[in-house]
Amino acid sequence: MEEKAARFSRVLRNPWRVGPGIILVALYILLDRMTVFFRCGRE
Amino acid sequence: MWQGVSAWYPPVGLEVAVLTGLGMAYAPLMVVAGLIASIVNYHESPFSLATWLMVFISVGGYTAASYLLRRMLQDNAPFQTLGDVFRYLGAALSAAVFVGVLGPLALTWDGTIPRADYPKAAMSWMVGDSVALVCLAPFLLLHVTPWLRRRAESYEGREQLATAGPKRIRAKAYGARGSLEVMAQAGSIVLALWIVFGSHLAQSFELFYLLFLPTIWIAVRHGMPGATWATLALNLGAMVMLKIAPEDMQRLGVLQFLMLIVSLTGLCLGALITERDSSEQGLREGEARLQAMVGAIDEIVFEFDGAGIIRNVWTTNEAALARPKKELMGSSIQQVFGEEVARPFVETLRRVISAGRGESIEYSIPFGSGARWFLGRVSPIQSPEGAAKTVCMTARDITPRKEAEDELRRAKEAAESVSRAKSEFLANISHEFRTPMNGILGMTELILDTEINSEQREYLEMVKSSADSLLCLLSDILDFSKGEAGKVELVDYEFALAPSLAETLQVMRFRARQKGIELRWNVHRNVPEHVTGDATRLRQVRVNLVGNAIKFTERGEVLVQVDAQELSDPQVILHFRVTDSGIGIPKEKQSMIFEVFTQADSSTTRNYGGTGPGLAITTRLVTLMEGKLWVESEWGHGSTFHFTVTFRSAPRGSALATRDQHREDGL
Repeated sequence: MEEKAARFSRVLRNPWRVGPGIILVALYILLDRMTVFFRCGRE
Repeated sequence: MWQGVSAWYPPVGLEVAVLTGLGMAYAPLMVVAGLIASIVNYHESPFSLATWLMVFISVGGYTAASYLLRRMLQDNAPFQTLGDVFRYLGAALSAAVFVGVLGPLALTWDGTIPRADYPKAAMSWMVGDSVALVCLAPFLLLHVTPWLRRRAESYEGREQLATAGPKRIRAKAYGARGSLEVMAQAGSIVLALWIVFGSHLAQSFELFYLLFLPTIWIAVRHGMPGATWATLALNLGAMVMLKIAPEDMQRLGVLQFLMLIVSLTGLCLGALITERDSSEQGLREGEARLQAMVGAIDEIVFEFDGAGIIRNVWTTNEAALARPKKELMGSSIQQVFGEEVARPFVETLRRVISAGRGESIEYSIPFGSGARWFLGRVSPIQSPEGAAKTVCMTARDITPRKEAEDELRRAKEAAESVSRAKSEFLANISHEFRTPMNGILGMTELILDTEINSEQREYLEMVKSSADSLLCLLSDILDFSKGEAGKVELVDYEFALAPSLAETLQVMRFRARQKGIELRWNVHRNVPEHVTGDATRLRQVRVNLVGNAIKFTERGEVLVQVDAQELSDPQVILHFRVTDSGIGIPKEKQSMIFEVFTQADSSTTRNYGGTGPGLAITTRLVTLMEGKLWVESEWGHGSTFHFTVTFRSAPRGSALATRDQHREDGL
């Protein structure tokens, strides 16, 4: 259990896991925004 | 409010790539991202049940697919084979159908999408997500997430785990021509997009098939890495072009399908090319390994078919070949070495192919002005269908070994010839020695019968004793030489065994008693009275063994026993035992004593007299009489010499009829 907690803590302090997480959330929202922007179609 | 459709939906590709490539721990982050996107981009209420439902359906569906994909694909190289691509498509597209059906349903229930538009919305959602899953997710899984994971694991000190496993798919390094080709390929994508969407040449995507051309070109030239770049570029380009030149809503559904088909084509073709490249690389590596092995073992390796045609030759030293490699390739053994050499060779090859088992063959081939010997090890090469059609043969030059063998054989023959000549010489010369020796003995005995003083008698007795010993030794040498020269012949005749034994031993008992030793004998009642065999040679064996027993015994007794080991008409195998209470023979020396002029210990020569060929002659005589000689002994506790001989029982012989005083004495 302690080992798992230590590993989890190590992962949370890993910039190569936290950084991409934040960037990915931003990228997700950006891509979604891009989809809205490029939504197309002539009625 | 439902406000038209998007050609495809990239966030889904990002979501599956992150969950599959980086881990399921990112799923809550995806829920957060989905909620924020709904609120920010679509102005959905954070308290709307439909919003939460939609987000959970999307994240749940793709998380489940990612969970499966993490088990099906390799972390470092997710798309190694076409099978990997099919597994990926099966899981990802199933999730797209699940989300595409349930997601719009939540929005329809919420009233965001009119009920009448649900089928169209569901189809658009499904296909839009599928396009993202087929172009963006593979791109990220191949080019981005492995790099991110390696960095993260390296930071956590798990770099070794991250780098272990299968080879990663890498884009090739390009030279100037390659770079030009890449630029041309990028240009072809732009041109195709412009023709299909931007030009007035086409109407309603009639020239959409043009998009296949750059996709196929890039996939064939660059495999999976190139295919993912191409499909992503085409789909992003299509999205942009549709903004620049909007199309009718009615035709957008068709466009989505076409984009999905182009993406699928690129992905499958890329995987196929990568798989082929990987196989080719494996073959090249196998060939390099084979070359290295051939160099290391210093042998020539051939591949033959059943007709003896040389299919392949591997060697690091072409000078070791009888003909240049170019000449050998495609030629038959008959053409190269002639029918005589080829016949046994081809027979061996056919046998190996039909039996499926390896064999060895030694052969000689004309080489330069002489000939060279080779040892070939032939093994069948199993074809994919199972049965072998060709064989592999490693050939080692054994000419030096053959030459050494020939030399050794010649030396052995010469030595044997010399040995035979020596034995013949000794056999002949011994006769010449015997005559004067008998003269010396006879004359000495005659003088001893006359009146001479005690000093003269003593000297003459010494002369007689020495002459007796010399004559005995000469007889032994004669017998041994005869044996060596193969001139000993048995003369079989019928004789009474017990009296013959008694007669011999009575004479020897006198000598034994002089040393204070008792000599006794016993013939078992199962021994026939009369047997047919060489009584003279049997007596010689007995005299030798009993003489040795008396010689090496200081006190106690010597016992001779005979019994019939096997009695079958007309054959009888007699077993003789000569037991003494003498010095015995150490175990490790027991095999030595049967060699000529050898005693167990050199000190025994000093104490008991000189060595002679006695036991060697005895062994030879026993072997001639179809028997064997062996010893049981312990140092300091006496010895028992056993020997058997095979005689024929005489018809009138009967053990019961034998007189008892001949059968045993002293027992």
